[in-house]
Amino acid sequence: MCAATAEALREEGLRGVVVDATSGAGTHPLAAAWSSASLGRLGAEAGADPLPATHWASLASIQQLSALLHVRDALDAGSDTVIVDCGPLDRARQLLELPTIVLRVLDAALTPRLAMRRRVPPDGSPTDPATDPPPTLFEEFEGIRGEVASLAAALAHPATTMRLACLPEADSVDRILRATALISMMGVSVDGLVANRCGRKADGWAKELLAQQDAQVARLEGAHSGALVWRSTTRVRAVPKGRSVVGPLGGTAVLDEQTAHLTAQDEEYVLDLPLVGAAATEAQVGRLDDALVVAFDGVHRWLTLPPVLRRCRATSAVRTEAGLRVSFVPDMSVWRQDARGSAA
Amino acid sequence: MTARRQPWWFSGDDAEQPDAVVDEDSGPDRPDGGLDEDSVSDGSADQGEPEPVVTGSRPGGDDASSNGIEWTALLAGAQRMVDWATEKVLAPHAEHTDPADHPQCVVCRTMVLIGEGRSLVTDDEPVTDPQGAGAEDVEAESGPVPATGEIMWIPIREQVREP
Repeated sequence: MCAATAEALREEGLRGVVVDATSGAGTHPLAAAWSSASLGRLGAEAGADPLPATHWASLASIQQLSALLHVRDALDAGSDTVIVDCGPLDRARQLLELPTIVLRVLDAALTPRLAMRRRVPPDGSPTDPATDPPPTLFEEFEGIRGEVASLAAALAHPATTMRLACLPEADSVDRILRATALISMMGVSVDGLVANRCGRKADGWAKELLAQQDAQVARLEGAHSGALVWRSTTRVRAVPKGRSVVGPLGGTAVLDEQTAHLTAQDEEYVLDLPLVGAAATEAQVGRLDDALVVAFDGVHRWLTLPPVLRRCRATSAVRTEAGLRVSFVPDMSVWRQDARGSAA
Repeated sequence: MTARRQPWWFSGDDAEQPDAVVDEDSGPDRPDGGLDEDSVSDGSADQGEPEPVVTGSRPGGDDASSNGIEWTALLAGAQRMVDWATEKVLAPHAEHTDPADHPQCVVCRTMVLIGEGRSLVTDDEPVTDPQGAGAEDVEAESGPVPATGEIMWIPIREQVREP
């Protein structure tokens, strides 16, 4: 599918680059430096024995970060479109989730205590701060955080879309529909669902088999996710006939801070969270400090609460056809009060 | 020529000062030749540029020991402060289990202010099932009680079908 998309781009005179995120892209030098120089250093300063850099680079998450860094490099090099082969759905989900997880870990690590740590030379020799000011772990981690934040922003960019392919079989359609709900909840729009390797009557397929695959394609279309559905045969079709490969094709409603709609009512605030498919009927919602978390299929989507809701208590939530509606009431212990002591 | 006496607040860790010694025969600042008692900290005559000084008398008075500090008096005072703190603050605080219940206690109030006063979760506290089971027990009017470091799951009460 990725190769077909790249070919379609070339036919339209556009420059596309394919990045293989299933470890084919290799370890990015920056990711290797992060893992060995920073994480390894943190462990060494905590008393762990040093590990060879290749050990760190072999971690799956380092490979996924490498793939995202390769994507960023391709964009910086001036490519019109970067096509990322995410592999199976589970890998695609990990790839999308990774920057957010790393950001939260780094946020937890960037404490004043870490800011006070100074570099300890491997040989124990003293350093001269005047000639070679050593970066602190805090400064190193802060730099990594900035890079990872840019990767997360690129993933959540409105121009980023995903196209999912499945076989016209019941299990495969089930998985792709749940993946569509999950990926949309993670903030990335799914613009196309491809029923791949569909049989044709001209190829001698039995009438019953054709009816079964028609039923599965109808399930994809009946989900009304917003993504465009099309069929592909043994000859892979990157986009439906007559469509441009760069779209627009379709698009699912994504969940992020901009699409979460806040409404002030008489005695409460209501926050509408757009969700599609199974996420709308199964997702749980919770709160931790100033963040709202939506959980579905083992993935947690973190959203920063609007300022007014940080002074409120979440009382309940109801499911709507468009997602979840969460109710908040002012928390009078932290609510702004006027000089007479009444709520302002 | 003798070494000039440093002010009481000067640690002496800095580099040598070229004017660290003066001629003791140089005249006093006051026109009458006497010493201005308000401009000295320990009864000795400081000369040269004006220095920050402490006015008033010390417990030892002008008859204090040669280094200007009465260590015995200081130690006795410190011991009395420790005894007082033990008797009036620490002993009552030892019986306080939840700092939030004792706003009059200095230690409890300090713990609350620095954010370490939250008591640990006890067995009799309500627990919300992360998957929503048992969430009906949480009253809608009061709302879920936030817990530090844990996601507080919001009860999803009903299904609304929009036309």
